[in-house]
Amino acid sequence: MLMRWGPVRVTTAVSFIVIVAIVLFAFSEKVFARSSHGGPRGPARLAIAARKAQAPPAEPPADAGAVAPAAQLAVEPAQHAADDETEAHVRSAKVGPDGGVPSHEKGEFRSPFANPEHGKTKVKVGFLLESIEGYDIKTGAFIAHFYLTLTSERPMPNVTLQATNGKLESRELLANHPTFKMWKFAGAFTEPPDLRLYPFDTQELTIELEDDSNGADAMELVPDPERTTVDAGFEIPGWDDIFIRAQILKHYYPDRFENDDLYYARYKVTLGIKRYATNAIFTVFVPALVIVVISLSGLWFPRDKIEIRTGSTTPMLAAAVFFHFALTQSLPATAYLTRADKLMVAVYACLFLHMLSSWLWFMFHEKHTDTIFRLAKYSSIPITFGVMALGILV
Amino acid sequence: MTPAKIASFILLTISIGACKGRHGAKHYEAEVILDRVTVVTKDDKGRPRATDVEFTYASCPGDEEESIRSGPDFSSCVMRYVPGTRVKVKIDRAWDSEKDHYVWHVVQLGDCTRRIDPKDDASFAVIRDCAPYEVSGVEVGVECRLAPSKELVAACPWFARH
Repeated sequence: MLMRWGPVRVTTAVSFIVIVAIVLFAFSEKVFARSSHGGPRGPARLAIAARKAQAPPAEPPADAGAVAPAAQLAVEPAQHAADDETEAHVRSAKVGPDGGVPSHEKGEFRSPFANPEHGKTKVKVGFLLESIEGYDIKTGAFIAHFYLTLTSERPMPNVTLQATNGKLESRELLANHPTFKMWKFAGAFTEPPDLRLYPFDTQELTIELEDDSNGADAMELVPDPERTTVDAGFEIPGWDDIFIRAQILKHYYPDRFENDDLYYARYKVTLGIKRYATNAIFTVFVPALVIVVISLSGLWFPRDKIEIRTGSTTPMLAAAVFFHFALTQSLPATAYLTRADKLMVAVYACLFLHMLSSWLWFMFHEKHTDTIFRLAKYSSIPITFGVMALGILV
Repeated sequence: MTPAKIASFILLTISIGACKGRHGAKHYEAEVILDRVTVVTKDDKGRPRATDVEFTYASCPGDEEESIRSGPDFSSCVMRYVPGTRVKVKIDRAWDSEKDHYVWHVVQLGDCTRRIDPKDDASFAVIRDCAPYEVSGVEVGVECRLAPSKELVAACPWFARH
């Protein structure tokens, strides 16, 4: 049957099958991403959490006793002081007649971790972002080096800062005065990227720190606008830094025990970075437009040069597929279409229209050859530009 | 004239315009308020060899801090200015192909001419335009723009990166 069809019909049939395959592949990718992104949800997630909660605690390794002293040495003295202070809060809480969780009768909070004796200390937080390394758009992971200062008018309680969206790899306590503390931190953090506007996307890199030894009753954190900034010469290659935001979240945990009513101050710093627009245009938009323009140029060839006509369109389909594949390789799976995806959908639509203009010759009688040729030639330019504009702007 | 010739002419005009627009250097004048004048290096006789001058722009919205460093001639000249003084500066703005955006250089501060050395890593500028950050109508922090805003570029065009 293929021999009877001839090369043109075979080419068009293959092109059609390829387009259908691409659409099915793209659809399955998105559906798969939607179902797998973020792990199980709803009841399934709760069930897993419940199973984890019921699991028996892991037994300590046989040589745990030998490792413990060395590990203790690595913990800085301030950590010990903070732990002691927290234990003192818990000891000062009273246990009811039936035992159980001790609670405070004085002060705003009943939690045993509340510190009604100390009173609230207002602490200004300064932040200087020194550098960001190895930002990976696929995982949202990055390494940050930064300085953090705490300044108060009256002595502040001992502070132990922990990262809540990553891990602090190193902490160097540079100043430890009752009213002034300064650290140099380095840590690995993660923030899921938002790629809806890719390749014109703006990403927010977030660093969240929480003092888990003091509640909001003992310490009130306030960002210091004058001292929230990036280092001189700070830059992330390929990205333009556009803003830095510091905010305080009063974080409340779902009840972990009875009277778990204490709020904790969480310091959140966000660096907004925008991808260089020139880079985005040349790496995504220009190749896509070139593919469409080359395919469009084939429509100027009449029916007697059908091989040249289809030869300028079909290879462009392969080029578009490879280009799209290369684009998606550098990005994580998303449950939504990025701007680049929408652009590529427009490219596929244009290529389909260009191929359709050749197929029409074989769908209608030969007497319509000239009409179809002229119609395709003159209508294809505005339609192509319209579809591409839709893909770019929507 | 055929459509192809018209299209070629338009493309050529756009290309020439784009090239001209990208690499055209411009000169500006502004007034700054000196914050700090610090001698960084002295010679054996105690004469300044390198000096840092830190200043803010008097008529630009937001908070722009700039620190410039230059050599012996600039150092001996700039010592006459004390912090708090308002001084006129001359600024050159040019395309930086490495950074892929425009940069500016203060080439004269008052009567002192500054020689620009491309190897100079000590000079820097920090642009910050801060505003309270609110969630649900409640102020919870601060947000500082680090890139020049439209208002800043309108008032002080040398800050424009593109």
